Amino acid sequence: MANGIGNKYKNVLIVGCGRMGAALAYIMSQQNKNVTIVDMDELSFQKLSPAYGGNTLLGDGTNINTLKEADIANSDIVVAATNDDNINLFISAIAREIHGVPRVFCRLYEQDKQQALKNMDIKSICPPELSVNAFLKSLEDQKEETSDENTD
Amino acid sequence: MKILISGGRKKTRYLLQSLNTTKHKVVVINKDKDFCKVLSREFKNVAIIHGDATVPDTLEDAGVYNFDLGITLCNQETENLVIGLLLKNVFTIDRVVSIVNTPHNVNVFKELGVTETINSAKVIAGIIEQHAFVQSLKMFMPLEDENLLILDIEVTEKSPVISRPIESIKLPGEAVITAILRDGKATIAKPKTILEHKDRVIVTTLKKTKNKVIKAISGA
Repeated sequence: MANGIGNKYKNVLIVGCGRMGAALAYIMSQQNKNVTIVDMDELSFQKLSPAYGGNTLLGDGTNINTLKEADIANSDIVVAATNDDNINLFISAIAREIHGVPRVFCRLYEQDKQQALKNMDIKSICPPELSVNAFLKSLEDQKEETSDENTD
Repeated sequence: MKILISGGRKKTRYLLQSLNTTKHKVVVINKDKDFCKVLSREFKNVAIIHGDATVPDTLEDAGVYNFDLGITLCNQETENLVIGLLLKNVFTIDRVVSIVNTPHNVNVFKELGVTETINSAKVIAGIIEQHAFVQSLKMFMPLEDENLLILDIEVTEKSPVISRPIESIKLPGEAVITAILRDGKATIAKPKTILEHKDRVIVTTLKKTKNKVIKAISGA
């Protein structure tokens, strides 16, 4: 699972060049994927690593024509990573239901909103939930360490 | 009928004014708190809820399960789509009408199952066309992707169809005369009906033959 996404998924489209989008774009471009990242704000591309080897596209990700220009129909992976849940839902629904993109990811701050994607094969990623799980996990790990010490 | 109206300001207010709110159960959800206060003073029979309708909890609190109709009037297309999807997929509302400001998004809404869209730009374009473009065209109503049109055309003095029975009129393409408006009274078109000056002819036609049909009836 280290690579997470197999080699058959070659073309990657990321919408939203925030910290998460930029980091993801860089890592995937290092994995020899064809990455395109879209953002409305030209300055946001400064967040990309200088070693980023993919494309950038300046445009509104909620505009069908921008998504077409980014070749959404031939994308294998689409990640909706803007800072607006509704925009992410909109983009991921278009990617999955209209363009049949095989793997679609939607970043949501508000986990409940994933209900809008009911019956759609879209994976939602919720940062607060992930953080909570990470905290719980490290608490658990610490507990195990201390209990190990106790038994010793 | 149970109706939910979400987003929008003037559109929501005018819609409430024209709806019979004692006959229908109407629930309004709006993000603007002050606007909600204004509405709740004006409309006593309407449940006004201050909240974000793109959040499932808000819709849950509003109790909109199985409503008959959902209307979304937000300025942001993305919000309208998210509300539409929630209403359809989670709250099992079959009919959702959304305002769509960007014409190329109409198909997005349709393909994602938000059943009906009001395309503001197209509506305005249609109104301009019916008033300015052809004088004898009184009304223009596009149906189903605008391939099917209902036209209201006036019979002028130089109309080729004047004083002729409907059965003898050959319209181009697959157009059909369905009704006649004469002196403000509507009648269903019959084969023997004879058309008179100033009659208004209601025609159903495919988009591609629209201009030919107008010409065949108005003569202009």
